[in-house]
Amino acid sequence: MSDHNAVELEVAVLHALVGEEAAVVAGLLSTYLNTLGQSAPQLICALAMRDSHGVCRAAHVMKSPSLCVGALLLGQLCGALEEAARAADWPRLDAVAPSFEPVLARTIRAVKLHIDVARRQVPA
Amino acid sequence: MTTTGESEKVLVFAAAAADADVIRKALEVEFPAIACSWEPDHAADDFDRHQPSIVILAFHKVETSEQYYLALFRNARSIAKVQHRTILLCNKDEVRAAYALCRGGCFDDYVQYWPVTFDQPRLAMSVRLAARELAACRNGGNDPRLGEMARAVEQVQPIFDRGLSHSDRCLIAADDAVRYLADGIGSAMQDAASGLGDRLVAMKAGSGVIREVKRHLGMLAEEKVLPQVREAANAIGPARESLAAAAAAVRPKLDAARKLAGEVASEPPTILIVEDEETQRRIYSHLLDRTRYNLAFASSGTEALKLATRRPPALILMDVMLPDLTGVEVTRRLKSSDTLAGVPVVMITGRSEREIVMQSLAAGAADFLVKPFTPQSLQQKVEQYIDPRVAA
Repeated sequence: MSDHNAVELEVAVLHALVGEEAAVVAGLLSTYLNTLGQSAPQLICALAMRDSHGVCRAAHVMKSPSLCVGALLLGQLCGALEEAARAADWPRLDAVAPSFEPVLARTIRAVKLHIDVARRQVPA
Repeated sequence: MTTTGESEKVLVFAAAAADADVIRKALEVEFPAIACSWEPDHAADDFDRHQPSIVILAFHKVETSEQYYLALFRNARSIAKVQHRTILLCNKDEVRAAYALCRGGCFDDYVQYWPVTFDQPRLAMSVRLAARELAACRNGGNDPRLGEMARAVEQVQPIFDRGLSHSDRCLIAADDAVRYLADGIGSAMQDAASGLGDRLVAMKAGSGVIREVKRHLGMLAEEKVLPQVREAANAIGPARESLAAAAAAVRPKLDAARKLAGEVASEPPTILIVEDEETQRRIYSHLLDRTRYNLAFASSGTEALKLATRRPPALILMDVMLPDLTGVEVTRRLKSSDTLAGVPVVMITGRSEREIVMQSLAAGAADFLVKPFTPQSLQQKVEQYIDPRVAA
């Protein structure tokens, strides 16, 4: 389950990993947004079709990059979804799944905001 | 892989200009560097001129393609030097024969193209996959077995030098011993002559007798003893010359092998990263110094096996969950291959994947690294398996 202290985007996590160079940070966050753009619909679809293998796969794909870039809440949520899906534990999935889309939306907003901030710091 | 292959040179060999033209038109939008060849007499020259990285054999009979390609191997001067991939086009009745040839390694891929194809982009996909493989090979670093050879040559050089130096010292010692022997015999004979002369004087022997005895002793030394000593000394000369000739013959070869080994050893070791998620791949690229390591990426288990087989890496960093096979299964397959069993596999896992860690280790993985990792933990893990002095 998700940690209540986790935030949508703790960019210090990404800074600790790759440094603070704005171009690098913006590039990685853009790539991360693409990953979300591809995998989030797959996860939503798999949840709707009650395809535990599909949920497990899509949640796994989003979990690691989320934790790496500092999208801790989404990363932990994906971890919980992956674990429940691997066990085909649908009661647990049904309990966790409703928070996915709101957390995803907030994370995407936070990431986009930070990409804008980082891009403004990149020298022309 | 991120390489898209548009810059690859593609050469289509066909029996007729019309066949080649159809294929050229189908591919040229995606692969503008495409050329065609349909005159058997010009095939080898066409290959040498275009030096293609991807060859398409567009003949209606598989057997014709096979013979055509063999003729190319016989006649095209550059074919063995130009790294290229081959794609065989076949008709629907010969799919099995085409598969057998590809499975046997004669060609890299086949596409069912005649009498009609229902999968029009299949040929372009095959070209694209070939381009990706080539890109991976070009960036894939050296075979660790070459590194072993380089180290072996490095070890041979001091052994050779030590052996040579020891033999030289032995010859000098033998030379000295013979010289001392000659000197010793000479002075012993002189002492003997002088002592005998004194005794003969004491015995009041006539001066003629004394002279005769001394002359006889001198002659004995000169004619019987010293020639044998000189013969022994002379025998050392050819031994020294022979050793010098052997050293002169071996040293250039050893130097050449050493130079080659040095070049091989100077190639950074390759790390194959099996990861299908792009953010993670970019993070690996950022964290692992490309001047110290060649990085090759595979986005599926199948691609990992293919890349590792084509060019064994020094280390594999393996994600657990891949789109086709699991990381555990890929590891198991790698470990069942004679050539790849020695390549260390480090599984990259999440905190909650203890069971998968156990399965991975049972499958032959050397180690695991828990995500999210820090730059330091990744570097330490890599250096545990790739000597930083080799990678420097």
